[in-house]
Amino acid sequence: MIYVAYGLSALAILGMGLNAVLAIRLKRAILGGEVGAKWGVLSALIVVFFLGYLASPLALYLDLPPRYLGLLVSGVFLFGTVFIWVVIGIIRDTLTFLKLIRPDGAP
Amino acid sequence: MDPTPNQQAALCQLGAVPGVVGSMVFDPAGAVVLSEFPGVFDAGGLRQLAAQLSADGYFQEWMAGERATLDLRYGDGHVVVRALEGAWLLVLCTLQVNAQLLAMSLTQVLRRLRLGGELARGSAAERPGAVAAPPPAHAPTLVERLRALVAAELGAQASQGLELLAAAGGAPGDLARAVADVERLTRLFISTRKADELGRRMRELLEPAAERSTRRTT
Repeated sequence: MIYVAYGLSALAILGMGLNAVLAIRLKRAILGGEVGAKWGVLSALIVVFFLGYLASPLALYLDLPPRYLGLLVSGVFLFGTVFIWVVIGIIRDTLTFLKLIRPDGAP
Repeated sequence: MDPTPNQQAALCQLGAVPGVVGSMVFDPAGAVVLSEFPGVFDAGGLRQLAAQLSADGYFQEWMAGERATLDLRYGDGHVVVRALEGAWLLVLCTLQVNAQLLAMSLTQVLRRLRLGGELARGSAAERPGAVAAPPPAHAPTLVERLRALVAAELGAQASQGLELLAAAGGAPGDLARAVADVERLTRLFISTRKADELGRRMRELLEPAAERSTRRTT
């Protein structure tokens, strides 16, 4: 079972590393503005996630005590919440500009 | 070739074509006769470019004759040079420029530039010794002024903003909406500071027109 966890961690690290590279490349290509600033926050969060992912096999290997593991999971949840909030902001800004969204937000 | 307001307006009109960054007319002596480039372009650099091109033997050979044309395509831009009565018109464009629209606009602008020169010469010949009065200039319309402002402020990133203005009708309401869209586009994707400045300057152009329109309706 532990090897499955290590394997999943390795896949997650590879995927998040690729995401980090793509995010930083796009950050360089974006000119600026509000979307550029939000993308900067997203890129920073992706780098934080990537560092956390890198540490996750260590948590398994070192058999981290449950209270620290709980703290780690809560931190990931919090950063995930901020990440999704920023993504929603970018999508809302873009759709509003393209006039593809109802002003009242009704379905 | 002495520049006239009509010729300057012709270059301003060319600057309103989506994808056109700027243009200039320079003579065989290497002097820049007319220029319509955004402020970010160094005037000294443009003069140096004109001097180098006009002093180049190959350039003079290729660009001899009234129909001579030179098209240079680079990785991040497109330069077109056209002959113009012993001078040359150089146009810098982004890669997004529509080639057919540019060709049509160039034909029209070259005609206006030639006509402007003939009018100026005719006016001077009719009244020898007198100071030549400028020919009746085509005052740029509000849309043309807005386009020139957007092209100057946004430079290479102006194409989307110019498309928004081009899609708007001539009515003040439509233009106000297009101006708001251009400001929003700049704020979201280019720079919030530039959006504030561009929005303020576009509204300064719009307000007198809107006031005139309100007075006419009341």
